[in-house]
Amino acid sequence: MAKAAKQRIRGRGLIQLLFAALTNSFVTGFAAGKIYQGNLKHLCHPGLNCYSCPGAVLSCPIGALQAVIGSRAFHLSLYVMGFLLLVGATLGRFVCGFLCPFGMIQEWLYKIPFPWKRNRFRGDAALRYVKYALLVVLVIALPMLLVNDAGAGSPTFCKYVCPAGTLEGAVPLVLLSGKGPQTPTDAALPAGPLQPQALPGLPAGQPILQGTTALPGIAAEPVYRTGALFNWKMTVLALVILLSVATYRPFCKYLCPLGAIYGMLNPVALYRLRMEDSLCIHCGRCRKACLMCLDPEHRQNQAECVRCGDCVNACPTGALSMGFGEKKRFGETAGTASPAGQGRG
Amino acid sequence: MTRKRILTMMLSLLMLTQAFPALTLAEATQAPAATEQAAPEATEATTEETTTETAEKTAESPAEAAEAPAYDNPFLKMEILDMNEQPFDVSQLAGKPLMLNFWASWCGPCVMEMPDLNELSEEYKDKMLIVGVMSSAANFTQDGGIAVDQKELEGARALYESKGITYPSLIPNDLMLAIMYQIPVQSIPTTLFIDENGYLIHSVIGSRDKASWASLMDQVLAVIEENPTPQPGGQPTDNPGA
Repeated sequence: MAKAAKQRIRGRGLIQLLFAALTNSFVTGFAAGKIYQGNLKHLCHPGLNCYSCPGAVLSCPIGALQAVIGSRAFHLSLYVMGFLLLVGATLGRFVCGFLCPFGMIQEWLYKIPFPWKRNRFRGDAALRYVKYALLVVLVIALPMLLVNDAGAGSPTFCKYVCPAGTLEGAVPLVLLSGKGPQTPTDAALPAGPLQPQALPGLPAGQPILQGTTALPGIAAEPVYRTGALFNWKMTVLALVILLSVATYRPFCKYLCPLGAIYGMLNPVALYRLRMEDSLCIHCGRCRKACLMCLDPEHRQNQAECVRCGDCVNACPTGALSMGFGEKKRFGETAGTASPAGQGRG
Repeated sequence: MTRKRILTMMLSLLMLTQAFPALTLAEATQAPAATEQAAPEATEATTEETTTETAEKTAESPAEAAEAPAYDNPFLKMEILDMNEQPFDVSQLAGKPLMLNFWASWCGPCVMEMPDLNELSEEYKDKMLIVGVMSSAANFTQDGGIAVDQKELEGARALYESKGITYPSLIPNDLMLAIMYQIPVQSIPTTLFIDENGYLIHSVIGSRDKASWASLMDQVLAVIEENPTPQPGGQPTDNPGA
């Protein structure tokens, strides 16, 4: 009698870490207190990774979406929409479970021991809808409709809510602001095809600007000064951090607009959670293991599933598995089939 | 396979295939994603090139020290257009320190501080000139020319009209673009204070309220007074007044 081949999801934490490191590998940004603005920024990170992180090499798709929706020139970002459809239809919320740095950070926080860890509570189901409201209002509607006299809208989700942006962008930039680009240099112009070789009125090779900021008499200030908006964003970040210790991935559950988008594509995504009914013994271990409070035995590809694989690892018979496409139907074998599993189509 | 599974696969493949037309259509119409960061993307210089350039300069300078070209105020010699694409008379900039404010119509903080800067430009008009530079209104093209973004100009003009701004705002020319690459101007608003001889005195990032600007402008004026820089035609110096 053949035993069911049980899948074990291993190395997810390592994949998260490596992908976060890879996509935030611009170390010069940390050393110099600046942001990478080269050509790779034309590409989007699949997860929520702030453009303004000093190490970030890719753009945030939600930031890019707001920027284009709010711009005077364009409103519909075909490129970002295409990218989100591509990633969502292929991977769904696999991105959340394996590729999103902010999801990884919340998981690390959840590991911190705390006496009041709760994932199931009243109102949890209703709160899950808040992220859709944030997507519609702060990511799409307000940048499009609340415009200044020039017709430009603000990236309201980034500006007022996103704790990933605060943690990955604002905090490092403020901390590194002593190294920031506030001091002009009299180095020569960087070479490159777009630079003019000589400037009008200046002998070739002459520095563009002479001078220095190190003059006495001007009160020293940090480069990035912070005010009320920064304080508000830090409050939001602090709340998300505290909640992440008490409950699993609160931002992903309740606030993430990107999770909302990928979640909507989860039911049809190529990467899916599969259930082999004939192997299920209805032990309920998958339900207990699921920190997103789902029931993998009965529904496998809901919007809320972040593909962490805990249910797959918890399943004693290998009924649950994750992968691309639908698994080949496993032949029923004596001794492993459940009493109710015989003959189900 | 059940019908449900077949339909699911087909639906996901359908979504997937919609992605590619969207991606390629976006590429064909060249729709780059705009961001809140400053507009020009610094082309990445290779380390070899900059090292070679620096080495060449060091080799030349001892021999040419005596004949080193005098630093001249580039702002009084440049050709630049205002927001109506008319030539801007740079002789207006002579004799007074310059406060160069890099901004863009899509930048919230930049637009917020414009009325305050407008009032300050009136109050300080005998002491310091406030001039805006529309940082995303122009950029270098691949062949070294400059392309102007008409949409940004329209936006800037609309803002100026609705807020009644009177200080001039200029379309970046190659000097301004070079300054933006050199500093670099990464976030906006960035404001540079330049004395009447073309020396950069101070630079700040970010918007601030009127009182804060006034205080900073007073400090800069005091520093300029106490640290005179060589007149145009004098030798270049790294630290004026030191």
